[in-house]
Amino acid sequence: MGRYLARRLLQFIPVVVGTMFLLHYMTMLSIQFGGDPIRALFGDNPPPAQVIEAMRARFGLDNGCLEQKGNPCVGIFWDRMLQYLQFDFGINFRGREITDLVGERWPVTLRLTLIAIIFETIVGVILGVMAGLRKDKFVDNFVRFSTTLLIAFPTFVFGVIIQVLVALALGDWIKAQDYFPTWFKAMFTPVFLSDYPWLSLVIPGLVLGAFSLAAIARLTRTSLIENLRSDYVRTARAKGLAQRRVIGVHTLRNSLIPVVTYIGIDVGTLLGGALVTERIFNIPGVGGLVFQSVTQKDSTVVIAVVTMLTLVFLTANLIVDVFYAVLDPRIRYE
Amino acid sequence: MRMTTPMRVAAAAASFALLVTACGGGGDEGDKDAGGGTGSADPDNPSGGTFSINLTEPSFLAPAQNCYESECNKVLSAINDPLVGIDAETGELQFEGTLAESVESNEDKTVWTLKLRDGLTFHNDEPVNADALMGAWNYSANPKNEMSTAGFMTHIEGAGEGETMTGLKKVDDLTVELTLKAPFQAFGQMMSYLPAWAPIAPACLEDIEACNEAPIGTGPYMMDGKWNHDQGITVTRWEGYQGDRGGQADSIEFTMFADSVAAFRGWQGGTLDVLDTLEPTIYAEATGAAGESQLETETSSLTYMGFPTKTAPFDSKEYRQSFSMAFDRQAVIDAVLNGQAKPSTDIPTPNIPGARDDACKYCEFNPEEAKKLFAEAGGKEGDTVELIFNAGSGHEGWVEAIGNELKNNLGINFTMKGMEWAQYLELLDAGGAKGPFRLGWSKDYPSPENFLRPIVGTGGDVNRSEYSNKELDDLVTEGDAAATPEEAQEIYAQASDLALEDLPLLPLWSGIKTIIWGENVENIVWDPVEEQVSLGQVIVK
Repeated sequence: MGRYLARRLLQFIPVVVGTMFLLHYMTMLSIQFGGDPIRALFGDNPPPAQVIEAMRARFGLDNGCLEQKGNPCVGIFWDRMLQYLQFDFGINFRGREITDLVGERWPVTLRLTLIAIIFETIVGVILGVMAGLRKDKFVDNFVRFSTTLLIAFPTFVFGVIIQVLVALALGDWIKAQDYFPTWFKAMFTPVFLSDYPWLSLVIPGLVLGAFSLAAIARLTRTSLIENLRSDYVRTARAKGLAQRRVIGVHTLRNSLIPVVTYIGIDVGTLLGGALVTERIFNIPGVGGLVFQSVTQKDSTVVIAVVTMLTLVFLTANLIVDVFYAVLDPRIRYE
Repeated sequence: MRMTTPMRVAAAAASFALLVTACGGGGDEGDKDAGGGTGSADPDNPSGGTFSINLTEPSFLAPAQNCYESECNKVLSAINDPLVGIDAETGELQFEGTLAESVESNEDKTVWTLKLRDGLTFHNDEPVNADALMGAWNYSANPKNEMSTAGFMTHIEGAGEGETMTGLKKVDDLTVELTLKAPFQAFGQMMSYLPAWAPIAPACLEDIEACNEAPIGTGPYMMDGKWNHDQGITVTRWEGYQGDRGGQADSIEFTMFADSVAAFRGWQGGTLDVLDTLEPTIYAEATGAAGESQLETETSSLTYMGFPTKTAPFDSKEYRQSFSMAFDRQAVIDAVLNGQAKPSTDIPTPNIPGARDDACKYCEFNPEEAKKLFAEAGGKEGDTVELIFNAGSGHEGWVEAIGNELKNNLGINFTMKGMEWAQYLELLDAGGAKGPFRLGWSKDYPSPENFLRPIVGTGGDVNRSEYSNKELDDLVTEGDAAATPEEAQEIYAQASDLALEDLPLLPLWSGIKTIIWGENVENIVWDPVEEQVSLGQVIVK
């Protein structure tokens, strides 16, 4: 196990460096082809040219290689790597430390992602089991239909629909009723409220997790149906084990392996989806930061934050791989 | 939705109330678009309470000199008093609720003497004096400090040449004498842009970074805690306030929204009391939902298209004129912009004192005349014109509408070239456009000079048409040395007429802004000088 972990951790290095280089090259290209971001900051009423020159120099955007289209600017990349090794992630165009920016924002995104994961896993697995056990019956058809619908809707459409119909319209009605407690009413807000750091994230969390919920329900269903036909399940039944034990302990445990794999990969999808969800619901999280920095072409922020997200993604998948062994005793890591 | 008659009466009543109680936040008196809502504001008997207004993350809050956009200005004008005020109707300087007691110039408008009120302090009790002003201005003028509003200092002798400007002289503790490079009649008006001229507290100059998180001002409100980045800023009544711009509410919450559709949803959900930005996509829904609680007001932002006057066929005056007459501005505005704009009639926008409502004779829609001019200029059916704009900022619709009109009325073909913002600006800065290009301008101070010199003056800051007219330049310079604003306005008008004849640009329209508010607030008043909701006037019910 120790050697396995060490090997996996070493593999992180080329992946992270590779990602960083790709990001670096893409941002360099976007500056080379799309124009100088410092000039764009000021728009129609620019300050004196000296001010723009001074800022350009401070952000290292006066480098000659930015004039040559297609040049990968290895020098800038190398400087950035050295900087990162000293845990210095630089500053954004407004002069704020990127570590501060991420420090303020990651707890919000973490809460949002947690709500989404918990929601999609619990509801998704329950729906999948219900559908799998009653294959081709009403429940199964219902789950298959509704999950297809969820998958078909892109987040930016689904998010707005839920925001208007549930958070606003239903919310208005709920807020008018006396018998609902205040905390329950607080959930129905179309935008994030810093007074309710968890409750106001519930609806956005559901929106964020909806797509993956559908995927998880379908994976659980298929995998359960397959396993129900296998020999060991028949043996367990023949031994006279109770249905609950056959399903809950023997079948489900095995059927969850693809689901767990999916959740690992899903961390990436969720972090990406947070970009859209955070914007719709005005959530001050990491996704919003990436969105804003991409539009401003603030490459320092984009590269630093996406590199951090890459690390989160890799770690999440490592945890998932280790978790396999818990679910399936046949899997052992050497 | 234009303002209806009862609304105008209410607005006039509100303005009158402002006048008699003498608490105008920069001369709103008599402005027909200034007021909305019912109650009236009494400064001696403030309503108290808290209200929230939308904001997007500001660029910088301190030093104020680094603020050159609307969002930081919104916060800074609550926590600072302006140096000078302007009467919105006449353009005269006025000194109600201002830091300065008087601003006077010598005969030829080159030496200006500014006298501060006695006994004013910053929120941290440091005195507001000549040193605080000169320190701020010297800091701003030094290119090393990269201040966004450094351009405001360029009129002063020695600006941009090091740590201290030679043109600043301390007469006594409350009086500063400024020597300009050239006569400039509108210099006093220029000082009405609050952030560029605000004094900086000594404590703030010592630690700019800390001050940016919790700026120290001179105004009726002070920071309540720190700038909570991307979430909000709260300001609260300053008990030590000496001035007469005292606010109604006890505190104001600026709630930040990265996206203005989300801000509207927040208003619907009751998170926001006042919303001053309506995204076109939700305009109809928002104005429908707000009912009576809305106010439509004109802004000074000018939208126009520049012509590359050195490139054929746009080097022909008649060719440019024919374009300007070949489409109906109001029809485009109604069809594409929800009616939220006002067709141009002059280069300065309507709410600038001295702007005229009938000066642009080529802005009339007249297809026959347009065809005639087009033929005179040697234009042929089937000529292809490239319309250039920055993509993804909501310009596609109206650019295309204008293109179609040109096609119908002049028989030309057009292509649309949407470019990325940075690339677009670089193209314009370099002067490489081949066709008409979209541009916008917002005033820094309400003087026609602030439109003419940068847009059509030779070598003007945003004169991307490469237009140069010696006569026009001379008139602007002559206007700068005029004795009174009225005299100056007359001379500037002559300069504007020259530009409107040569038409190096296609004046399109000026902005209209709609503000909506919720049940908890009333007396929403538009301040036409600051160009924002007059926050101190908002009454919390």
